[in-house]
Amino acid sequence: MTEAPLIPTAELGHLALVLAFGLCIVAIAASVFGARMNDTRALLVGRRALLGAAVCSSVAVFILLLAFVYGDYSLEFVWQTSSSQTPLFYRITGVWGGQAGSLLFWSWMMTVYAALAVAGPWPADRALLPGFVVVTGAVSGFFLGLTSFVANPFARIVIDGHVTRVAEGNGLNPLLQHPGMAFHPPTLYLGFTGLVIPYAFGMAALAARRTDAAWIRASRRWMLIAWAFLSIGLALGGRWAYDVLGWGGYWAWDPVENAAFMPWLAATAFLHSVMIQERRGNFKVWNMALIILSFALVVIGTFLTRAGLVSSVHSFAKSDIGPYFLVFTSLMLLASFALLWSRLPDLQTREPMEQLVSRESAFLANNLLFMGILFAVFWGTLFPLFSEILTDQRLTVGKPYFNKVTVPLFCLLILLMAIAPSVGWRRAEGRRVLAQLAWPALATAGITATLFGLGLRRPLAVVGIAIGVFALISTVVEIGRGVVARHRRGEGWLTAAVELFAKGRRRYGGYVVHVGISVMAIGIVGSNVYQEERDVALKVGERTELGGFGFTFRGVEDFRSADREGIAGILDASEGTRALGQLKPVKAVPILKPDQPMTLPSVINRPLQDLYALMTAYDPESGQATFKLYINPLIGWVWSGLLILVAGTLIAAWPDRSAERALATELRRMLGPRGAEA
Amino acid sequence: MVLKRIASVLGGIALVLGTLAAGRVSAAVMAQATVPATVPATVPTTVPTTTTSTTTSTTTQTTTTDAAPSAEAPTAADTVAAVDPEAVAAIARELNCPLCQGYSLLDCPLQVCGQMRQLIADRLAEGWSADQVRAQFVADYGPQILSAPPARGWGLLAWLAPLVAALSGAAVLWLRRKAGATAASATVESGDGTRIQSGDGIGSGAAIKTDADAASDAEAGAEAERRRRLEALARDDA
Repeated sequence: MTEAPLIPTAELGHLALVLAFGLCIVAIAASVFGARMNDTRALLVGRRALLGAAVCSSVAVFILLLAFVYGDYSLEFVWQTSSSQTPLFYRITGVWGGQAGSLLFWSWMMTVYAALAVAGPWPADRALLPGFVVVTGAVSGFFLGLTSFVANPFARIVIDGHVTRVAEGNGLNPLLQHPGMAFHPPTLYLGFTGLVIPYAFGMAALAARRTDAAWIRASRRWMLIAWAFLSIGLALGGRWAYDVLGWGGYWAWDPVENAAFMPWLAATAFLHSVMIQERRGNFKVWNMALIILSFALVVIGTFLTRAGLVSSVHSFAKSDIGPYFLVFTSLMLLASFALLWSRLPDLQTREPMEQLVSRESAFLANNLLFMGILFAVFWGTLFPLFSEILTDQRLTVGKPYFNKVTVPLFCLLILLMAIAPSVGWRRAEGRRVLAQLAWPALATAGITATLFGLGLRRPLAVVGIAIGVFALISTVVEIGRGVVARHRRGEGWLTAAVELFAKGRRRYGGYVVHVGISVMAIGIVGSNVYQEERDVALKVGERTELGGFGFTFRGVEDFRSADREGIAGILDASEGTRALGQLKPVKAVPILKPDQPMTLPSVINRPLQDLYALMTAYDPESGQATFKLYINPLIGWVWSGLLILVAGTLIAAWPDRSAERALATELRRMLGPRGAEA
Repeated sequence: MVLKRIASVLGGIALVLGTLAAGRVSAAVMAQATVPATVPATVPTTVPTTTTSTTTSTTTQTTTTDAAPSAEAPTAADTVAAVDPEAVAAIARELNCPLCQGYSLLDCPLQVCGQMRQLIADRLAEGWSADQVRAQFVADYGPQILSAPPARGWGLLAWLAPLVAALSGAAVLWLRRKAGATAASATVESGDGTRIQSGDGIGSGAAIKTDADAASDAEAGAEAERRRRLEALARDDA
């Protein structure tokens, strides 16, 4: 520990944070004043203040980043989550490696999202602007206030009343030093914070009494972007767990995972149900409630996991930000639903509900299933808490519970996904729907029968794979039908396909997302139902078999990386007589944290299955190593499905320049040359 | 009428649920109080004493039980039984690792958990039933060792609530649809008569979708969308 000249940048960073917080307050005040007094200049001040908050928080993030890169260990947070031994890449990711930094990162993203939304041409009715600025300002202001005054990432280390620079940092948790963990939190945060945009649009629409579907259209692209990031973030988290934690799986229904999954469920339900409102004008109240729920679940999830409320009730008192979150969440929910309540008369729907077999009903069923899953996840996550408070019984609600409760609902949901695109709006004829689905159903039956013949016998797998395949085929057929229709009108096959996606971005992008989900579903069924695992103790030269693959132990070698050292066991994997390569699972100790040994798995990825190995023990005297081996079927399909899903979302969200140009031309014609200039 | 009936059914379910939960909770609490819960910290010391020669024979694959028949085994374990690894996995999958958060006993990479899996294999080989093995784990570590609550007593509430929620959601939607349908047919009767009766079921041939319809429908939707955007832009620019 040395007293060194301190770089004052950290204080500047804190100043920038406080400034950003202040600007949020200014933005709120100016917008409220402007809306009340109908003062355009005040509204402009509000908008600029929001832009200013984004600039200030960007400066703060940049300064914190520099502190990490240059290793300013006089900052408590920098000291806690990095060290000079940490590779540069992971020193940068240390910015979100702890609470204070991730809160800063979070508020930064939120202000930037809000700024981007108001910086460009305003996509909606001008009347929505003040409400939008107030809501985004209030939410970002809360997070900026927390980082400014409660969990300040720029706090200096003070020992005996002196600001002290420590010579070496504590180092990032070694488990977090993985590319998956580097990208997983930011993408997830981009998803979480992005949901503030549609939420703010919705609240602004309520406040301004503009309750047609304009707010949905204006926020649609933001919603899709947030949703895509949320999906990627969840999947990357799964990938990280699979590659690092070494339990052979990617989703454990852990409270933190559930907290991130719940907003995704609500947002996905929203993405579907808004289509009814845009098309038919009903479900206005429901859509508002869903967007409030989506964003509230983001905040509640953060609160639950940050306050440590879900793992144990007792850590609640220890956390210093928990109470702030509790108050903020309650206020937000109360204010949002009070606003919705006060506007209920505006939201009356005239359109009657349609027939049982119709697209509307399909969307309703979709929402019912999503809400059912959401409730089950919510209930299961909070049940241990209720149980401990009410009966003093400590229970665990884990994987078997969530699997049993949600899997039937997911099966129904995917079945619905297969059927719904063939069902027309308003009123569809059952016979016609059946006729459209006949070929996909026949093909699915054929494929399932073949797989059955090849040995797919477990009932859950037969049902799950059949549903997944059915959804996959019927969605692809639906896309194919569009291409064929265009081809018949005289377009070449390629042109027809490209034009189909270009003209119907939203619809066909959505179908591509459905294809991705089907592929993921098949992968999830395969990897869960047919996973094989085995503990095995091997001496050098010994061989074992699992699931038709051979594993021969070849001995151990030293393992060394920049910040950890240990041994790696060498396993030759083979299928019959064919060598498949080597698995080198590692048992290592971080150099800086010798008390945290890690077992890192090693994986051979194959199209139909992964070979996955862990070395759980090694005895140098007897030369015997204990391995945990897994065969994980179809797991690659989960990741491929994700890529398809992202591609589909991109298609659906891609701006349609030609359509916008055409719109501008038409506008010019409509308003005359003078109108267009103005 | 229908509303009332469904409401009463729902009320009945809730009542049954409530009494079930309330009745069993106290019993469960009492039962739990008698179980000496072992704190996880004692795991490393308790496990080696119950398994024999654990450090070297941690393989479930070659379980030709070398364990001495233990006194508390319910049946004589003289016969050497080969234990199906799947049977061990089925038990371990539904137990938590007592040491680390979020791992199942099946998947935990800790050595001590490997030994516990071996212990399960040994017990099964001795002739214990799966339920007896589970009960022993609950007795040793408390009910939170089970990764899902048992479907009785207080734990039943965990299982039933989502079901009740989903059913009531479906019931609400069904009732709204019914209400909407009667309201709609009422408006049609009093209206200008251009709309067809909405209560006349599927297949009336009045508004059947065809592909061409769907396409023109989509175009009509796009047209309406364009108009709306134009109007919004015009409003903005005015």
